[in-house]
Amino acid sequence: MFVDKRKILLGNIGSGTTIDISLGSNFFPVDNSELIENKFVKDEIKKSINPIVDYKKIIFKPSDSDVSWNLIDKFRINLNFYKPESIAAEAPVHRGSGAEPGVYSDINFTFDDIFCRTSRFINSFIRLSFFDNPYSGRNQLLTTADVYTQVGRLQEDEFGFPLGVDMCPISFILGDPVLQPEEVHEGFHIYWFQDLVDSAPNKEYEMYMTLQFNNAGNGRIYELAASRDINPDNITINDLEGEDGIFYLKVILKNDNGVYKYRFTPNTKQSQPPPGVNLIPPTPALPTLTFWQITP
Amino acid sequence: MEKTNKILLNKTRTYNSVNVNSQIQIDIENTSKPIPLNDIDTTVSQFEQFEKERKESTIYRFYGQVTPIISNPLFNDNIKISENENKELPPVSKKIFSSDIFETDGWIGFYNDELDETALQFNDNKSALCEFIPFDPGYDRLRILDSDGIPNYLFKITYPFENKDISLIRNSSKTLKDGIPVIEKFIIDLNGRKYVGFKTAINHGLSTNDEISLLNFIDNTPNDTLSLNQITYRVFKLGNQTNDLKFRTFIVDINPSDINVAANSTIKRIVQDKPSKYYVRRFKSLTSASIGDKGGAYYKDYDIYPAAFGTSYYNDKVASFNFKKDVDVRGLTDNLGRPLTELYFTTIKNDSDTDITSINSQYWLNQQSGLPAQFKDRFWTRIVAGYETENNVNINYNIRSFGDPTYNGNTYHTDIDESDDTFDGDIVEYNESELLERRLELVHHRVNTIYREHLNDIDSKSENKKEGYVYNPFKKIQIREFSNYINPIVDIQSIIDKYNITSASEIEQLKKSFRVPDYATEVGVPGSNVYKWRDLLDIGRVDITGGGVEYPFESGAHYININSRFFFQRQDPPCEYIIITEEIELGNQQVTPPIGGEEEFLGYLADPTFLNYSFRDAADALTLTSTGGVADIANYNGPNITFDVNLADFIGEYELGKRDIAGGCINLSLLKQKDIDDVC
Repeated sequence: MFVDKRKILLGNIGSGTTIDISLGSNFFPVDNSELIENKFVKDEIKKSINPIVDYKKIIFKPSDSDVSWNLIDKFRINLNFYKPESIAAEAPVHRGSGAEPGVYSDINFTFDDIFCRTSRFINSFIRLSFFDNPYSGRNQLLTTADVYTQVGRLQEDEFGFPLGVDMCPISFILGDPVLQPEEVHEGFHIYWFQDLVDSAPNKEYEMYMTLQFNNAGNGRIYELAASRDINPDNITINDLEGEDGIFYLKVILKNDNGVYKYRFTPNTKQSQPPPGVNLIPPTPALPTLTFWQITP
Repeated sequence: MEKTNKILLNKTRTYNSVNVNSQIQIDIENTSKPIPLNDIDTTVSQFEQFEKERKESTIYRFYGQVTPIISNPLFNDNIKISENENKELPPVSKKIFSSDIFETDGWIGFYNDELDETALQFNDNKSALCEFIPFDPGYDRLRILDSDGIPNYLFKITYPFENKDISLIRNSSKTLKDGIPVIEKFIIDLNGRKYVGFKTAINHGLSTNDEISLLNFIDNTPNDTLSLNQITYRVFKLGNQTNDLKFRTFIVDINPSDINVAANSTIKRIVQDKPSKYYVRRFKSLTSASIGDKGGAYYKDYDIYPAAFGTSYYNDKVASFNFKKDVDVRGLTDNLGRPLTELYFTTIKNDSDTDITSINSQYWLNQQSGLPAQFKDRFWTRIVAGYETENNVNINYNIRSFGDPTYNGNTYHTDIDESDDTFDGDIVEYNESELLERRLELVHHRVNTIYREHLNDIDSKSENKKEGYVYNPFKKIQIREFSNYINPIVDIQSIIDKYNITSASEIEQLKKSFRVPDYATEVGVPGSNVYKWRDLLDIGRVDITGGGVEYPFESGAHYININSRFFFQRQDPPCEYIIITEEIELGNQQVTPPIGGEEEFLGYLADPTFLNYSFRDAADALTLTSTGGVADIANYNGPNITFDVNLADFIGEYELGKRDIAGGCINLSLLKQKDIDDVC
């Protein structure tokens, strides 16, 4: 605002000029109790209430490694152990040379165990454990799934009899409960929080899977890795852990435009031949995960 | 303040004066200070917080189980379909003879008596002899849990969003809004006195002593003493002379000779001078469709999987489902503009069932290749909807009659597709005095296979099989409930008049202060500003009559468990039968050209309705037993003999073509019994 300013001495106003401003106030003691009750307390209560956390879990279905994340209705898990004779010779080697399953004789089962489905056989299982990161010193277990030994078409001959124990593959087939009703469904789906996946960057949420075989025959728990690149005489923590370790297999959960999927995402070591993860094999083979025993 | 002093600016005093800046020191002394506060402790009630969050939440999550009752008595043909040896050629079929047709848990099919070499290689028990195989449509086209990747049914969550008027009576000027059509008058004798009874086209929704108006009836009395247009009548009793049909008949204390039914007669229930309104509710989906990998629509909004150990009495597998998509009803209103109190778990038959990689689909598509374009590429017909009305040729929307030539020209809800977002629903009654809706008739969907529906066009020797399947698509989910009493009437207008309020916003404010909800009904003419309504009961609040809803609240959402039964039933199960006898002549002395008796005889043997045959002359059976004789009757080449072939003719209520299988209402043991040992 423009003001025409001029300096005039106070004396020019005239002597004895006084201005009386009367500011009267009847004070009475007050406090802020109403404000406190009606606003402060309510605001503080509101701030103290935890936000609602969504505990809704939904089904994630497996998909292949194609860019379009095609759903798969079943996949196979192979376990490959060190050959007993190689362990005895103190030069442990895995069975075969490719991404193939071992046989039940490798882990001390007999034909009778398989034929008669003895307790030691049917109570043996693999445990799929999912962690939040691939470092065992500081990761947290998120969820698990147990899959018990199977005597399915892979373990039988053309007449429906179990194969000999030195030919009977340690394989598990997991299938969709609707599309593959005759397969085992435990472990096929991952159940996880929808909210966490929806709010993750790119709606992709990462977790890391390990696999153990629990042998009810000898009470031993075998750790396996999705890579054959193992030197049993010189295993370091760096070989096993981290994004590039062989022990943890990365699993990505994704909200694919409203369809919730997951896929196994191998690192370089897990991808190199023979691959531990092969989700798009030549037809008619099934998408396959192969795990090799780490320590004899 | 006690004294007011005006301080004028210099410039206002004289022309030459100028304003000056003066500084004056004023001491303002404060003679009080805030009282120190004590510590404030507040207890937060977890229950209250829970209730608060629960009331505020409008998000719903749905999960549950569907127990199906499904079978295939309306199969396309009693054939076994298999791959052609020359895979370049279309699949082939083999007729299954009547003696080899079996029913297992309601499914009609046959026991496989041939090794399937292809299946054998997979060692998955599918090659086993004596596996029961249903005729098409079989498990893969009808079960809720479908292993072929194309869902047979789609689930949706829907809500009523608008009303629709329909003409229930053919060629009538009156529609549903004019009341419930009355189609028949009857006389009932009670305690030696005659009363008049009326039958309605659909459920009337009346109770004894209800007040009704009789509209467009014929008053036979001189000078119209019944005064039908002026007065209302009481329902004396429900039911007919035998106390049956209570939902469709009612008795009025009028001399039967004084009144007659006209073509457009209707009734309306009256409550406190308010006539009921009748209309069809339309439903809108809150979930959306996507296109599946193998074609056809599927829903990604929910997961479906087998319920653990869940099977029905008839061995149908129970399906569990879980809607991944949360349904938020905030801001949504129903067909009457009220907050949503009902949602509907909706099941729609998926008509996209022609996966061309399937041998069965290839076979039927090949059979249908000569049909018009809109039919030949489909397995199922488009869905038609209607109601279970009385059987009367003048009544539209009779779902049981669809396909009966007598009813050609009647109206139905047609061209329904599973991918639709809106559907015609039930017929309801609403009365403003009660402020409640009542369902009178549930809507039913009807589908048939294209092959059966157009069989005559495919094979001119066969007649169309127009009987289809019907099912009820909507199951109610009560998410909120209105209170069992109506709030006292609130008269805003009297306050408006008293204080002469004219501002619309002030009137709105007034409504809010009186807690008049948006959905309140204005009593009298619009703009009367006199309101009545029913309060919505809070979730978890159950009134003394048991009204109210209670369901879990977790993670900020309401969890609704839906335990539904899905009955996929026949459109018109035949409950009567007659036995037809056909005469057949076989032998080497047939006329020239051959009369084709052998082919005809084999045709009868393959007919699902075949019962037995007998020799016209019993001596033929005793003497002609050699090879090529009656022991091998299909290849009989002896002297001419005559047979009587007996077949069952199943008769339903409607003319829907040949029926292959009797309705469950027929005692089959009177006809024929078979033992699986005869086959396997």
